[in-house]
Amino acid sequence: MTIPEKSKISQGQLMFFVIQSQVGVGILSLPNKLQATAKGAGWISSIIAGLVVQVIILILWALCRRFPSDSIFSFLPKITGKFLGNLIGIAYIGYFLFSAGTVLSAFADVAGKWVLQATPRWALLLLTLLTCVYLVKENVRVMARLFVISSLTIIVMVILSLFGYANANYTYVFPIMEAGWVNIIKAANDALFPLIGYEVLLVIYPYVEGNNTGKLKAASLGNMLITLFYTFEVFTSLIIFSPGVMPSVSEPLIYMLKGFSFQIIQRIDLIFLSIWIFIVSTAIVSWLYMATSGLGRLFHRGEHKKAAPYAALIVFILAMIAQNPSITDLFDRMIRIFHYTFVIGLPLILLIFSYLFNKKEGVS
Amino acid sequence: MKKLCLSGIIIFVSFLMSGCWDQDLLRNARLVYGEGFDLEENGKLLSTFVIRDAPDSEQSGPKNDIINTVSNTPEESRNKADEEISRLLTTYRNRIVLIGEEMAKQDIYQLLDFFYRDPKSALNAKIAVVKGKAADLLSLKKVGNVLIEEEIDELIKSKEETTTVPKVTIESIFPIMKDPGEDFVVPYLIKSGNRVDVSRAAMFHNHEFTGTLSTNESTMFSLLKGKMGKTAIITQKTNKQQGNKGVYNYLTFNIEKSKPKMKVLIQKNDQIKVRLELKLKVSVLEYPKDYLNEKKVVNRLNKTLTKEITNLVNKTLKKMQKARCDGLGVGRQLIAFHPDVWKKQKKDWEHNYQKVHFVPKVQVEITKKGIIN
Repeated sequence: MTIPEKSKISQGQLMFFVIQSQVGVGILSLPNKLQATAKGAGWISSIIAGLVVQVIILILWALCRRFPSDSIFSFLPKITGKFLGNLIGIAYIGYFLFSAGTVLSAFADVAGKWVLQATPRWALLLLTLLTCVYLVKENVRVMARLFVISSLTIIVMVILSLFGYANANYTYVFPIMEAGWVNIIKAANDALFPLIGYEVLLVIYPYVEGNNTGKLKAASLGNMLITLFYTFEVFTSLIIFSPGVMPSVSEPLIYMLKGFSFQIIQRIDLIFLSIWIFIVSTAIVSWLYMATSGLGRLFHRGEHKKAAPYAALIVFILAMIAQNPSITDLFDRMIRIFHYTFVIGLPLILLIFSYLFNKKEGVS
Repeated sequence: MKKLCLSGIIIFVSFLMSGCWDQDLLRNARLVYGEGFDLEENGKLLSTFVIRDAPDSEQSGPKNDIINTVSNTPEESRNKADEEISRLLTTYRNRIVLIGEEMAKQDIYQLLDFFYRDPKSALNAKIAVVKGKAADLLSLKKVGNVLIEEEIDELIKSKEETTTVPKVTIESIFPIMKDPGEDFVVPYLIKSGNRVDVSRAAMFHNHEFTGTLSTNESTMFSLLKGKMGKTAIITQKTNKQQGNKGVYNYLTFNIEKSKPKMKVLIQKNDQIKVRLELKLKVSVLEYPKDYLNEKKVVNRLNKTLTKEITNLVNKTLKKMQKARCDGLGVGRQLIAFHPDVWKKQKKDWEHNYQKVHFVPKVQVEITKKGIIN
């Protein structure tokens, strides 16, 4: 696969690509979920999850390294044969679209609950998707540039959360080992899902300039920053909301900002949400791009932008279906299984395969 | 041509799509600035809403409209009030929530649930308990030239600065209310003539109002809690009565710096001992009796003040224990650092709390004396 010069991205941009794909809707409700199982040690769980993600990134990297100029959709046929390879490729596209759909639907849920109560769901979805499609149609470099800029918003989110420390009570995280290691590990498993998005590596790996080690470093650094960010936000929520109140607050990060007001701005939570919308849409863009690049390769001779409109339509339909809680729960459970299969299971199998049969670039 | 057509469509569509589903215009709203809840004799809820109306002309200021409704729940009362007024009743500018004494003796969480649930509610509103009925206080409409809700709001804020009442909002008591190991204290308002007096504090236990603290006790509570405002002024008797020159017997000081420390210790038989350290650096504001450049005098005063403040702390703690109000969060410390003791005691914590042995250790030091000796 040849990559046009104008869609190459630097390693720094790769880092921001990973960051922006990872930060999504999950962060808002993460403290609540972690507290439910790990109690005061929720922040330890999120560190553990970050370490696990680091191992997964290593696996993905080891796989991509063998085909430095191929994305997952072009190296799959080389490992497993053309038919099976394309079939798995389609399954991956399905997974990417599904992820985009769940992120979008969770976004619409939160926005509908917190700010735009009267706005119909389709309007929210449509407006978000249209902006996303506008970006997805561009090449990787354009996206990466925007992702670099939008990463500034993460800093703003951190600063806003610092206001929460005015009401902090550090004793809320004690006793740290109340839940025990078993529950902390269990919660770490929950924390894996808000961190998904690093699989973007499989798709954009060939677009990145430089050597393999540099790429691994960039992706790992991105993951490390995000893990730190998540851990910080989880910790902040844990010391602001007592263990008794946490179960009733499903989005602690926004809730803690609700009571603060400045001279000019009365509702900081609304500012926070508008910044967060930016971050969510970059995550959706990333998922959509992963899917369309596969679709483009399979059906449009590599032109991914032709696939953007109907991929967006599929995502729209998925997000419309996931309206009531029972379906959202089902989607949640499905995404877990998919995640294990497509991001951990399959890449590991493919890696072992490619080693056993010595499949790598140039050798066939 | 194509471009022209496109821009034409965009302009046309944007005319059609002005506004959105969630627009909430100020001219369609009646803004509630204060709410009060009281218990009716038949067990129902008497709610008072203070609605502020914008002035009709430039000359006249804003005016208050007071609405009373009787209902079963706060939300129902809001709907009832909405039926009685034109336009839509909106509460996102709400500044104060007042709860009448009798109502506060019931569970107050039941009143606040809808504040916490509504994404548009103002969680930074002040909360306070009113002696008698909240409705009576709010029906003053105006104090002097200031609207009642503004007066109360500003008064509470200024009294927070002087450490007279604890600094709380609806939001800040939320995590405490749901925590078994801690209770909260809110300002206690008294209607005195046509004015409002904000100088006391109302103690709560388990969402229920259980007692009040006097001005000095309330200041002590805030100091022990480590939540000092900008100043904290206390007048203390330092000498025995001498004739009728009363002022000579008193010393008024401002607390410049306060450093509290609390340590929960577990003794034999699970007896809980709480060591409270309070280091105060004070400046003398008024003391006509002696020269303060003499070391002997200052040392004597330091000693007297230390003794008096220790007494005050003891009195405060005793009152809090009597009211079962664990405002300092002794239970919280147990949960966090002595979980096994907490497990044994949590069932009957309100009685065990009353048995907690407090050992205050106060140290007062005069560091400033103004511009004369």
